Amino acid sequence: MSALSGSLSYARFFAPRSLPRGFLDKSHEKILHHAMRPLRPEEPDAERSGWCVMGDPLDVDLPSGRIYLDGFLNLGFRTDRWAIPGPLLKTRVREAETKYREKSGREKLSRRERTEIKEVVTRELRKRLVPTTRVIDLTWSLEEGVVRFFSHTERNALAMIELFQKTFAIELVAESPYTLAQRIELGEDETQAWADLEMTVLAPRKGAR
Amino acid sequence: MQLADLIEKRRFVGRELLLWLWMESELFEGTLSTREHGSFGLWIEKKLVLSADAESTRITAALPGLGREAKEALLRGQLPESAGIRISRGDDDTSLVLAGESFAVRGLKLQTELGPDGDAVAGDLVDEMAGRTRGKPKKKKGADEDEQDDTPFYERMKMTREIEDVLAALYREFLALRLSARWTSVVVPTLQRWAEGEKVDADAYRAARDGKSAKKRARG
Repeated sequence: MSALSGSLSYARFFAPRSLPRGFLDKSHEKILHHAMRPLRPEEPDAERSGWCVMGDPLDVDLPSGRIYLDGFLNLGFRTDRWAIPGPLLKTRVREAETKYREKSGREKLSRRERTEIKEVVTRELRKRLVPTTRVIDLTWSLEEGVVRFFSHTERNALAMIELFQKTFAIELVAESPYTLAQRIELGEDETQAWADLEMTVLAPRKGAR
Repeated sequence: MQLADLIEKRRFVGRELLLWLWMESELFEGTLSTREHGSFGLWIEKKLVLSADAESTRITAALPGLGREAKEALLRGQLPESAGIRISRGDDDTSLVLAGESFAVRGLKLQTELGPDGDAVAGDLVDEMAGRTRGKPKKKKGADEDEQDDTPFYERMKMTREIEDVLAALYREFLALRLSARWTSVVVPTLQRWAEGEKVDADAYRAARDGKSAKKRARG
């Protein structure tokens, strides 16, 4: 998931080549606005995404010198998530429910009480755990209008596209045979042929072999 | 029609590109060309995945396209889903896995990258060829550990763009053929014979593909 070392695995997305005047100056403020805010145990969110410095997930101050590199805008797409092991949560919730029943002297708890107990237990467990952090590099080649995102997972791509849109108010279009063909100037006959295109399927000919 | 629908309906074109590259690389013994780049080496290596609906064929071999299994899959109506591709241009040797439907790139191994001091250091591919463990950190730290050097990043992006340019040029050449009458009259019959294991006259195919008449061919 890194652009800086090892082999590269990425998907391409297209952004407009021409950007509004002053876009870059304003963009830093927008990036900072959507910088990663690490998860806190007392917050309700179980997962959060935001920008960090490419190759440095802990740098969420995002100094402009580390984002803008002569024609490139580089960012890390960081996602933090609380990952409490299911069996641990279940056991702790059961213990807390038993304690509460004994204390209140009741046999059964309401759904609301059970939800509240689960929330309290979750918060307590989060204080003792560290959220998992996933970072995927992203490099936006401004001259080309191409964003290279170093992941192939659809879920990651959708989350990144959403954050990108929120940050820059730019919609990204994923690369595909269609979009690449659109960027090639097809002739009139070719455009017609493209519209009528049907898949080539090979099948054994009768009497062959 | 919505953009998303248009994209979905034409995903098969990327699979056909892989099929065409596979056949041509076999017929022309691993040497392809584009107008912009001239001749270069290109062949299918290591991995080839073919599929149609729920049926899929996954072949892992040094040259996975050469065996009968891959051609049989084609004759059962499957098309390449992704393929390992080796591109050899001048001194540059690159390998990657290209997904047909999205043109997503996996495991792009760039031969060299510049170290922080500007010296060329070995990349993954060189490591692999030398039998060393892949992906080992090769970074040499300069005197100032905190100093940022963006040269390797630019170098990697430059090489990545060069490979993307080659792939885009191949796609342009493919589309010119795919959207002409020669696809049905020349390429499909050749694909059919090639998949069935019949001998194909590569020179005759090339001439017919390029629209050269027998007379012109005789003149050279």
